[in-house]
Amino acid sequence: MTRASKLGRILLAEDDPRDVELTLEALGQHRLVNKVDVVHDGEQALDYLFRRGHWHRRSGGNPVLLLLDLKMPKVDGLEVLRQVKSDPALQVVPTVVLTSSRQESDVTASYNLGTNAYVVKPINFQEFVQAVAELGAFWALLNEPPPDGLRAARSA
Amino acid sequence: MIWLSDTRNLGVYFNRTWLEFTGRSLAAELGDGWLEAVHPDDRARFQHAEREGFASRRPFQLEYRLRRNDGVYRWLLDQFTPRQDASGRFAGYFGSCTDISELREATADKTRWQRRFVAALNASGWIAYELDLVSNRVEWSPAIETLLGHPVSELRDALHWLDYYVHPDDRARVRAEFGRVAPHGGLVAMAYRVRHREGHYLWLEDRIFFVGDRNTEQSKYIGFVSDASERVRNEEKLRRSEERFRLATDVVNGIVYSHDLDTDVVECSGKLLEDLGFDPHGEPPNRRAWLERVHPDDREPLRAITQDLRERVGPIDAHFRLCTTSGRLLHVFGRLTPIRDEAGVAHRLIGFLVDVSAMHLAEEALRLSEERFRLAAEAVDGIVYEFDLRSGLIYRSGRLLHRLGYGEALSGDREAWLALVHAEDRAHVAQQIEDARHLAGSTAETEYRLRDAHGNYHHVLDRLLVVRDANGTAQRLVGCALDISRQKAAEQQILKLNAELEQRVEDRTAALQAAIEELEAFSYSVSHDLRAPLRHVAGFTDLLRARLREPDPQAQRYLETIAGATTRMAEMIDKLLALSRVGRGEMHPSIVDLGELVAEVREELAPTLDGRNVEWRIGKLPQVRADRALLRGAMQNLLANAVKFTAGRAPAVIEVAARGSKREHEIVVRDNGAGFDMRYVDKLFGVFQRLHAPGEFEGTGIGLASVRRIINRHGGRVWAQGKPGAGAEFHFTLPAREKQ
Repeated sequence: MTRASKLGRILLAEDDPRDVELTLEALGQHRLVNKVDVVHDGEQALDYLFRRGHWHRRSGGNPVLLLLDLKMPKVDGLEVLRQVKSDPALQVVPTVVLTSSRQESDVTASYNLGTNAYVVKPINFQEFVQAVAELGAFWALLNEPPPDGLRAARSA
Repeated sequence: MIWLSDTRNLGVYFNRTWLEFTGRSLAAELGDGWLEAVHPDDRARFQHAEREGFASRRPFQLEYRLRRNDGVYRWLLDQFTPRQDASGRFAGYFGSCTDISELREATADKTRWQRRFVAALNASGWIAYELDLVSNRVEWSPAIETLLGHPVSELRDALHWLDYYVHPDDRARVRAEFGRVAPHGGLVAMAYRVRHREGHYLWLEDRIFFVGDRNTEQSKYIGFVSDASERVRNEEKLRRSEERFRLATDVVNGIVYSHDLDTDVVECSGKLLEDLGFDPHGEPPNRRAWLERVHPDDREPLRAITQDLRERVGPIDAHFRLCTTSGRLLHVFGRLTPIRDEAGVAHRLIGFLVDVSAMHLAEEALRLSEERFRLAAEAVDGIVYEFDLRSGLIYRSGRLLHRLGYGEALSGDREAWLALVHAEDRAHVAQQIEDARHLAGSTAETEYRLRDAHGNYHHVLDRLLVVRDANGTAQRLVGCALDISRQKAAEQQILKLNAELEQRVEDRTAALQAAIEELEAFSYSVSHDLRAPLRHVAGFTDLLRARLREPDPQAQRYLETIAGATTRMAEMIDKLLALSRVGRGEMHPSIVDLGELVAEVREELAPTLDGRNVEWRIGKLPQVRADRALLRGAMQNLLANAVKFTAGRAPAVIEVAARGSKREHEIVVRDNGAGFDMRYVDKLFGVFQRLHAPGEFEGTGIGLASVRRIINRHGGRVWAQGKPGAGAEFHFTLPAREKQ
């Protein structure tokens, strides 16, 4: 088992490729070497998480961290969040809303749906790097994800 | 007729005349034969006198009746004269008789008249007296004693009478009147007072004649006096009564009139006569003269009603006008009453005229006033009414009544009126009437609808006045109801237009609100969307710098400029977003202690002071009701500005003070910083408006716009004052908290 696989995957749902690149760069700068799976809209994110469509053969457990952009085509981030947090197996996945929106209603809705953190992407890249690093470190490294077994036990 | 008698009184001789008279023979007469012819009634008296005479032997005379030859008794006067014989001794009587029948008859007649006179005098109540001018002696008839109580003997001296018994005030007059009597010899009548024995005075009427001739010694007055007290009293009464009457007619300025229909004598008196040009003491004016004084228009009616006076029962009243000599027109009231005798025949008319001009003027004034009132009521097109609270009756008039189809006047009680009032207004109007009785003021006003005769309703405005008596009790309501249907319609129209206008304003406001929201949403969206590319610029610039192993200094500067620009733009976008949030977010008001808030902001700003010398002067600040977060933002902006613009001042003085009124708090933030030019004060609170060059002071130009938006959302106002180089003042108000 590689270190990455051992570390578990991070799912990044982000439609803007430049943001994806910058996010990956930021994650990389902090040597967060987890495998990052990237999806570009909410539908893909849900397919990935519920192993549907393109992702129906996805192996491995749930991602250790879900970085979720709110403004996405097809299905927006809040809907993704709602489905994740209402699914008994997925609700334990730490979710960080990573967005440029400071809109109050977005923040409130996100927290009401059970997001673990809400981060407004700073414009200054170094600050962004800093923020991503802290988030990644906390949720991906420090937080011990619940074992898949819990999911199995629960679903049973 | 001669006879002789002897000493025994026996007839001894009768002459022929005697014998012829008696018609008897001498033999029959001799001795006492003659006695048979003496009237039987006189015989005793005769014999008695004869015996006395014979005893005294003196001469005497006797009157007796002797039967004449025809059987008629005649009165004889018999003179008895003693006769003597030659020796001088008494020899009997010599008698000579005269027939005195005629004389006696005359004397008896005179006596009878005297008796009658005295009886008449007594019956008349007059007392006679005779005054002798020579001796000044007065002979009174005895009744004077009864009248005055003095004995006649004390009243005999005429001078004493005058100086003692006559009232002192009357003496001179009495004396003068007496003097008047003698020269013309006629009758003088006068009345004067005489003292009674008991001390009081009696009025006597005295009528005096002068009798006799001045040249002879026979200068005498014959007079009659009588008690005139009653008469004088009556005269006095009459005089007073007449005076009262005269005064009364003078006071009322009238005329008293009496017309004797039998004699056609007219008498009248009164001061008014003079005004009409008649002499009050002269000949009374005749009917024609009267009619000439009457106003021409009134003559005919007056003639008509006075025509059949004799036949009329009861008094006749007349109002007419009289012209005075000065040309004044008098209004007079006259009343004539026929006086009838027992048979019902009018023989006299009495009446009076009174000047009632003053009364007439007052009545005329009243009439004119009422006329004006009526005309005014006509002019205002209203209903003028008077409601007598005691009788409950309402009298109304006015043109509006007519227009409503109820005729010129309408009377009735309260219920009748209320029946015309619209059912929905009735209770209110009834209450209004009740309230008026107890009204503190004197006027009231109400509006209601009134039904016309065709069943349509008219809006009226009813204004009333409460009329009270001296005790303050409401007696009457006097008022006027005006038709305000047209005004009411206009009012309705205005209300409708207003409602429409309001609706339009509401619609517009809603549209505007929507536009603002859209704009804000747009501005938010734009700001939001701008962030992403900016972030990319910043991010990739940073990545680029990391890639350049050895950047030349120029490239390095470019990269830094790009980074600085993106940072600055990011700040602007953030502020813009914040501003948009201020306008859009919900308010969460609570009680905020402004003093605490300022302290917090100061603490927050402390790191930026960077060792500067700043003198804070914080006054007593109030508690306000506000959204704490928003107000904190505003305060943060203002204080940060103050700190920023006092850079370079030592010390920098920043003052926060408040003053309050009932309605609002006013807070001022004052500094001694760079200030600003008042010419640009309008731009101060605009978005992205900056009054200082970018190099001079840091800033985005959004802070004050946020402040204004925050304060406005709290219902307050913001304004500023400043002077370049002399500091700035920022004022804002917040509504005072409602008292709990």
